[in-house]
Amino acid sequence: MSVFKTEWTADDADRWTIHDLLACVFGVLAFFLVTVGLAGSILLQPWGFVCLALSMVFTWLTFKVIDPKLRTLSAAFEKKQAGYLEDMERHNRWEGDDAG
Amino acid sequence: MDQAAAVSVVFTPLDWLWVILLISAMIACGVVFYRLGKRSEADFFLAGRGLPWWLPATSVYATHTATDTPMWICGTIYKWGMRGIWFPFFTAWTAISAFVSTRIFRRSLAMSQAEWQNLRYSGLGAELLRGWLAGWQTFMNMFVLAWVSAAMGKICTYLFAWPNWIGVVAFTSICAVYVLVAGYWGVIMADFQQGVISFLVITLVSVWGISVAGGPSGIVSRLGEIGESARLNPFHFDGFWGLDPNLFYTADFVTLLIMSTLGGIGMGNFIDWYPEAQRIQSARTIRDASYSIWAGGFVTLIRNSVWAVAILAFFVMYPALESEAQYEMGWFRLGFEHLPAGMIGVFFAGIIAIHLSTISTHLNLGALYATRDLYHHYINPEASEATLVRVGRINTLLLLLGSFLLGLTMQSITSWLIFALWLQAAGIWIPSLLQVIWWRFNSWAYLSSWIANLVMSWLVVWVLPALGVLPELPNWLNFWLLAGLVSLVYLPVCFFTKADDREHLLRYYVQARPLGFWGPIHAEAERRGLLTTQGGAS
Amino acid sequence: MQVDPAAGKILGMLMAYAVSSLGLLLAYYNYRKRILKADRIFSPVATAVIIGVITVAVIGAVLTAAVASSDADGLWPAVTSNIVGLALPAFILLVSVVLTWALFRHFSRRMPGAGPSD
Repeated sequence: MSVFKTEWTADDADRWTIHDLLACVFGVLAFFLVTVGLAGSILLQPWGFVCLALSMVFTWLTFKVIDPKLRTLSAAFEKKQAGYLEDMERHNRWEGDDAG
Repeated sequence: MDQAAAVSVVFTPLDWLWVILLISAMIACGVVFYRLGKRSEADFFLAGRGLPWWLPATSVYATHTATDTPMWICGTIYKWGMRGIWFPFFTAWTAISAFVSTRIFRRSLAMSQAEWQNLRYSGLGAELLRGWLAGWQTFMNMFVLAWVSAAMGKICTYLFAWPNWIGVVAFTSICAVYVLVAGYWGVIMADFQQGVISFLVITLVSVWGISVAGGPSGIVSRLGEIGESARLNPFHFDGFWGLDPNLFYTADFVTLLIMSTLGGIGMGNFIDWYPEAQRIQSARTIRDASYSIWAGGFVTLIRNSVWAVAILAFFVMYPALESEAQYEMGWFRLGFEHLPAGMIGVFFAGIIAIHLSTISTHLNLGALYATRDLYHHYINPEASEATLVRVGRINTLLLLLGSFLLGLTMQSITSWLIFALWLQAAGIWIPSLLQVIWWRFNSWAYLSSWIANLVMSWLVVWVLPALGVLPELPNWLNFWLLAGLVSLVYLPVCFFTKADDREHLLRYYVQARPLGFWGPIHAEAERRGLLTTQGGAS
Repeated sequence: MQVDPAAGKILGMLMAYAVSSLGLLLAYYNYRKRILKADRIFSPVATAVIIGVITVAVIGAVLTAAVASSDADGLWPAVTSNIVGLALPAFILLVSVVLTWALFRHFSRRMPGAGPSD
């Protein structure tokens, strides 16, 4: 399975895959590096600029990995959302199959 | 907590004009959405579940930026140097949450975290959890309102020597105008405007303060002259671990890192989760929800970095302040003591923007729990949409009045309750993760963890140190000790009580697709063909 | 109103847990009524627990207030230095509660479909 997979079926997108893990890891790295990198850059420290640049790279990687999957699973869920909302409102009114 | 001496800030007519015009714009931005807010419960509390990612994202940032935030961050950076930036780094939970718990929560469609307990668990335990959390959140939002309003009272006393109650009451009441009128539509639109204003102001004031201190190179060289260059290093720790609560160990850093990243897998690990859950649910799609949380957290960390350097600038200008009450106002002093006329008014308007965005969130959020969970589910399940909106407004007003009462009469209780909020994070941190990732973790286990956390946190943080049985412990050890002690309660409760109803768990699993240890449920769902595109929705 | 920090901690958490407990009560009541359709909403055990918790909370609040209102050092000295200020109001409160309960039991039997079990 390619890390930068662009074509997803709805069933595949609903599963947890390496892409979710990578998006999390890249995202944490982006957050970590922007925290130290931006402060360092404002202080004109060379390590700051390096960290900031890396943060941008990891930000781009995060979206490259996860966006196609998110689009597909979002679109698939939207088709079922109305039905789920009705169930939830019935449950809230104590009318569901196992309300409670 | 003692107050810093009031500073003589001169507001010119030009400053006041900017303040009035900007406040008017903020209120108008909320009020104009009145027609949308009054349509239904989902509109009053979730803006109809149709927002594009960038609206909740600015609200995530705006909510994370409260009136007392600059004081708190100033306090940590002034005291610890750049390594203090790891305390507000807890916002990084949004990095993992965006693609894990946000997705799961958004799929559940629950209007509140309390309602999610009903969808995740089954039976009496689920209802008790919903009732418990709804009561807790209604009350805690009132306390947060009181706390944030009290911070505004302090700032106004500091700037204008006004009596404390004016700062507490005035701006919160202004905010309540558009929250009462337009509900979450007003909150989210005003948050966007206020988020942009506050970000611009924070950047402007910080850059101004940095330049007054001599610019980046001036700050670096001045720190070297006074022997404080270590303050520039975010990884300068006092040894790997130890028991002195006044030192910053690598163990503290690692604990903060673990809490702030892995915490994104759970729900309810942090008090921030509850307002963000509302933003998640208001997003148009799962993708919008994910990006709103991610972007909001990212911008919040950018803000932290800008502030951190500004506070270092304040440090080199005033390196010998010993009282927290003095140095926590550092960033405000940078602005009010050095900005030109006209800009002071804009700065104050920026502070008001920060204040209003937090107040509006907690007014509407507390009313959400009181209305959806306590009123709609328990008291009047057949209520019409008009009734629910009316009750939502009444609850908003009650929260407002309750917060005034607390903020004006019980400030010390409020401050200790905020302390208790952080304690709560320790004891239920792991259970909040387990409830997402493990099918067998049931409602009784989660409920028992909440109740046990009270007793354990009292013991560890207050009672045992007061009796001399335990010394005052460093933060990192408090956290893990509490987490371990509370687990001695909820794990046996989990295993000695029945698992949740299988059919209920199946329905939840198919809809929300949680991550983790859901083997038996997943296998059953596959066997029944519920995990394909055609299966699932009833 | 300024209180001792330790008392403030206790009071703050107790207030939050008290409101959360009201949520528990609402949840329990609704579950028994709407799901189990129980004839008697509060079982004898549940009734005993509720009365017990309220009693402990009231006694705790009275004792905490007694300490905060007294110059004496410690709980027992605070209680013994103001027996009249504690015992008499407690007696009057108890009489009020018993009277209310008795009135409710007497008149609720006259309401159609609204007996003590509801």
